[in-house]
Amino acid sequence: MINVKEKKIIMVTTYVIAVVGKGGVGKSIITALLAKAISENNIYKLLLIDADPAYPHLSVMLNLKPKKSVESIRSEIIQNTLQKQKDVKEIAENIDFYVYNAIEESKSFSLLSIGQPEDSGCFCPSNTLLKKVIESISRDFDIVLIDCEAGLEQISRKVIENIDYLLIITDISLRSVDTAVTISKMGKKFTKSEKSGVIINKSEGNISNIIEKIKSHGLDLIGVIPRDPKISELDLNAIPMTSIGQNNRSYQKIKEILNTILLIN
Amino acid sequence: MSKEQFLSKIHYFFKEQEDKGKTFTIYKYKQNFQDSLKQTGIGVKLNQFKELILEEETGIELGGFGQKSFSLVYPIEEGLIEDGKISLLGPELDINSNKNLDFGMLLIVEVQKLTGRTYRELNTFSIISNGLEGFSVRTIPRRFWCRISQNLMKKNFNLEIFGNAIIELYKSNFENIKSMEVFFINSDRDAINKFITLSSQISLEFEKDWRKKVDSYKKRIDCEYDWGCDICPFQLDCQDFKDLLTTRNQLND
Repeated sequence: MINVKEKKIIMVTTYVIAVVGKGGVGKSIITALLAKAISENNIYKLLLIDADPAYPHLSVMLNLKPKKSVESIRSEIIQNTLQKQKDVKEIAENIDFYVYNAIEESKSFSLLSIGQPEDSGCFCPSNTLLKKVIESISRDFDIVLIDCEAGLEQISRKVIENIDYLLIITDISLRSVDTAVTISKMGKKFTKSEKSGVIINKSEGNISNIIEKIKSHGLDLIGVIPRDPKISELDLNAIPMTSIGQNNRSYQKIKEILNTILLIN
Repeated sequence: MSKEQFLSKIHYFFKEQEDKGKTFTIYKYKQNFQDSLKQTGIGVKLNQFKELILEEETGIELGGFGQKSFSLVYPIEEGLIEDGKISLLGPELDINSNKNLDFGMLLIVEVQKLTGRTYRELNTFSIISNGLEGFSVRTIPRRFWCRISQNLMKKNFNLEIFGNAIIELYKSNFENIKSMEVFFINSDRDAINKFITLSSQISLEFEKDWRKKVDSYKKRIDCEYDWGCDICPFQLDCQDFKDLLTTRNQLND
């Protein structure tokens, strides 16, 4: 296995990885473990985006709590703009500061939370505005890792347009694999991502039919992570996933997967 | 306004500030910069220092929210500048004075062949951020925001070293840079405001390109009503946000 540290891949531009999959397959856990693996050798500047409005669990798994969500900033901007409480130029000049200040930083990685929508109505231009700010801020990082909700349309519309790698997570249920196939198709429609890979999570027993189905749809299986009582224990007790031991076999698998993703970049 | 005119206005601006009795210092880029750094223990090398400086580690913050700031990279193809000259209007950095400073930075870069891509790459401040130990830039369009760590300040980091580091890193990263001049304005809100007004004149130069970009941005805005504006109940609100988006894009370009 090629070690990321030995290889020391230099990022020329920001590499954006979106972690997607059906609800409950373990997207946030895998995102958190990837974050730990990426930040292990301090080679990359990493921005994590928690883009799951329904279940924003990433902050608990990383023990980092963002000061504000992008949605709450959006809500303030909407109020300030529509009620003319602030000058348009003043808002435009400061919006990047508002979003940057919402990022919670640590030496290992930074976390931005998208949050739950606070306003009803159609504010598509405000989505575009915030998306542009997020894209601008992303340029300060080598890798952006997005923990997504199941649908990709929301990500391309609200978070970031250019996704480099679509990391699709499935468990060993056929419905979850069907979702993975659908997401892969949607990825081609809603993102500019050309590369994708599938991880089978919580694997146990004979999964040959699952592997066969994934391959029959032309998806690239890049790793299998076994069902892990240690991960379940951490999750159950809301202990940060980053505290997992170096020798944990799931974490070792994650590091192999990370090498695969970065080496094909 | 031609590039010659703009550059002469820039030089006149700094001369005028100096004549008013403001602190004005000129440094020169040291050809043996790396050797001179050895005594200080400050690390400057391309892509070697990818670090975030947390708030609690920060010694001095240049620019940032609530501070007046600007950053501008002005590429030229003609040899109109004095290579390696670093001009500082205002005082040197001092860890014992204010932690948050108004700050402006202008880089004039003479490049062999200027393309749109080169222009974008020259504006990528991660070149500085990832190449200077104990220093991190946060990219905000047209503004400047960076953190200098307490550790770096303890090593007697100053704007002379900063100017030298910028020239060193830019020249290491871009083979086609022929010469480079750096201007800093530190802790002088009035001068920064005047400089912003002055530099805004050069944006007229790019206005044609900018108009095209804004038109394309407007087309790219997603719309849940598929641009059926006649039936859209949010038509007026939408216009407010388009104005906001346009204003930010204008600041960005």
